[in-house]
Amino acid sequence: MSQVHQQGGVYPPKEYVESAPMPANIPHVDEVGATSGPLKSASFFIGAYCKEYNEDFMLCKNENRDPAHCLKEGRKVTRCAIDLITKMRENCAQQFDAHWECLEKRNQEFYLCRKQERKLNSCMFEKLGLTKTIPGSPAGQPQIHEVQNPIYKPIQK
Amino acid sequence: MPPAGGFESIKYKRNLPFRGPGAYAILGGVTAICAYGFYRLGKGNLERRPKLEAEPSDDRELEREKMWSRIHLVPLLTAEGDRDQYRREQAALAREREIMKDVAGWEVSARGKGKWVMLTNPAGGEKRIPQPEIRDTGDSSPLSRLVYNEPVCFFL
Repeated sequence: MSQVHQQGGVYPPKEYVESAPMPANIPHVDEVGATSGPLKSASFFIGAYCKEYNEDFMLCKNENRDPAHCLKEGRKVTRCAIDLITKMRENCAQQFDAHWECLEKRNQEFYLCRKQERKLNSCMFEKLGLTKTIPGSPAGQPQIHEVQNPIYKPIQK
Repeated sequence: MPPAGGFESIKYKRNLPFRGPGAYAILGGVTAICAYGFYRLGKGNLERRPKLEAEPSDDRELEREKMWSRIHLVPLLTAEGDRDQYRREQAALAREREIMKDVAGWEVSARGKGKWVMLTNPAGGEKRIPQPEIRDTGDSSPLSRLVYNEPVCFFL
């Protein structure tokens, strides 16, 4: 399939960009546009806030892997995530920024950013009523992000 | 001959005071420090250690947190990727329709002739091939278009 090019190895030296727009019969939806840090910071709240849409989408994908099959459900998922991120930015912008910037600096490890994460979590609970819960955590013990003195913590304070 | 009164006694006995903790105290201390260290190590492993075939009963909390963080994002990322892929496919079909419009009896699109399969494991090579009874062997379209390769979470 792939040709061997002079400069780019087996890959074409320049990425092919498909410039054709989406067919007009597909309703437009904005993409989320957030990079990995903010998405990771918001992930558990996306999971909590958009649970129905996410599960609906994944059940739809389970029916058929064809990309065309679940476009409608996918738009709902994206709109919900955009809605959540907008709300986060309206209500907890400072804590959100602090947390994802910490994640960017600290190799995107949650355990290195607990201080910022606790502030974000409490803000999200107060303003939006969303809590971070990790499914499958052992019952009766604090979840890993709530442990006061964990073994793995940042060496630099 | 020995001197009068005999030889002096030979000084072989220890003439130094015993200082510091005794042997058993040192042994016990080292054992205690090691035991505490291994205890902390074990606790730390339960906190962190990734395990390839994790079971629900395994307590590996940091790994679990990472997994669920990713799992919550999968629908969002998949939806975005699907839209992009759909747009590209439609563009490719439009191109094909335009190019082949003069060929009589040309059926646009190899699409729908194969079955979309989800790879449960990227290493599972035999699953890459669409099911033979559905795949049209006369169809020369590349397999990669029929196989949709999804990011798979190894740790589930």
